Amino acid sequence: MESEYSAPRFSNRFDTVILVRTAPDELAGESVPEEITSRHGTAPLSVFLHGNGVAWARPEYAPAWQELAGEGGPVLQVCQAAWRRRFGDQQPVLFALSSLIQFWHQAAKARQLVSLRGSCSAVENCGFVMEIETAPDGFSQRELLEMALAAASLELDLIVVFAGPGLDQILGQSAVGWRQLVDHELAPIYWLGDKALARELMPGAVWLDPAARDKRYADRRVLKLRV
Amino acid sequence: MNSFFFAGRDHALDQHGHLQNAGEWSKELGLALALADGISLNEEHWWVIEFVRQHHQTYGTPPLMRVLIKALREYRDQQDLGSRELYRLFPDNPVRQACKYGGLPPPDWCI
Repeated sequence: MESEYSAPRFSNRFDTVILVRTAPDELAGESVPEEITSRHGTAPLSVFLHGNGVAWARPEYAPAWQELAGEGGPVLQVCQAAWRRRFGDQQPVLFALSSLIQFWHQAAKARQLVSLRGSCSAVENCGFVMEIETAPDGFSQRELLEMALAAASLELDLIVVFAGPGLDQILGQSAVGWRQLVDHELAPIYWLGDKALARELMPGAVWLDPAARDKRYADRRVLKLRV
Repeated sequence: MNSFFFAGRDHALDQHGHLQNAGEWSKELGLALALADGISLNEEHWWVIEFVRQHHQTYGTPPLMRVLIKALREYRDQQDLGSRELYRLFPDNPVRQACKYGGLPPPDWCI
């Protein structure tokens, strides 16, 4: 119904979907491919590059992914919109152009959803929490909103929770895009922090009592986004 | 660069046929752009275009299809309306085409 991106292109069911939003130059020499190999072994994986993480699909990083990219290795995908915003018509190397819709299709079926430099949780057949603890600049900020909108377009059971530095995203003019989630009942927005901030934050965002957090998160895969 | 000649002057278009300069948009220009694509805009089309423009102005993005469908159902008071109705009006891609004839840039996201 939605668009050219709606139909699942990768029909495999993955054990784990790994989201990478951190650029190579933000990792102080750490290697994402090595980390994936050591942490996830041979289980069927999908690696999805998004935000500044799409830079991993540039040619200079291909040697690092080469070993993983062989037969039986993870399916390597890069968000098409995030890639084109940064690198125009260049072609990614070893990574297939994909979409946020594909990401959520796969995440909804996977046993485990991992955000590299964030954290993960593993619960099958349930909803999602996007817990956002970052307020990046430029494209990356908008791409977090797009990630939530993509989930909403698939009518996934999603809640969005802002915390820490992420609260800046629902402050003043920054909140403009996020308001559509609440106004159109696409996904509820909660926030964690000092209750006294309520008057400054986006109308419709609901303060989440830390004591009630576990209950609210129950049976959901929690995607902590720190970049 | 593509351009579209209307009302005695050229209007620059992007590679997708959307106006480069949103400030040049008018209803008359939107009508002419649609006609060039073989679509004669009527009241139903304009309701969708205005909704998409309003959404873009309010939230900085075009609406999701599910939002547009829900709004159309409420507007027409027909709960059984689906995406087919929107594709009847805008056969290629309802949101994208409404942006085009409404003077907005094409959605650049992958949703």
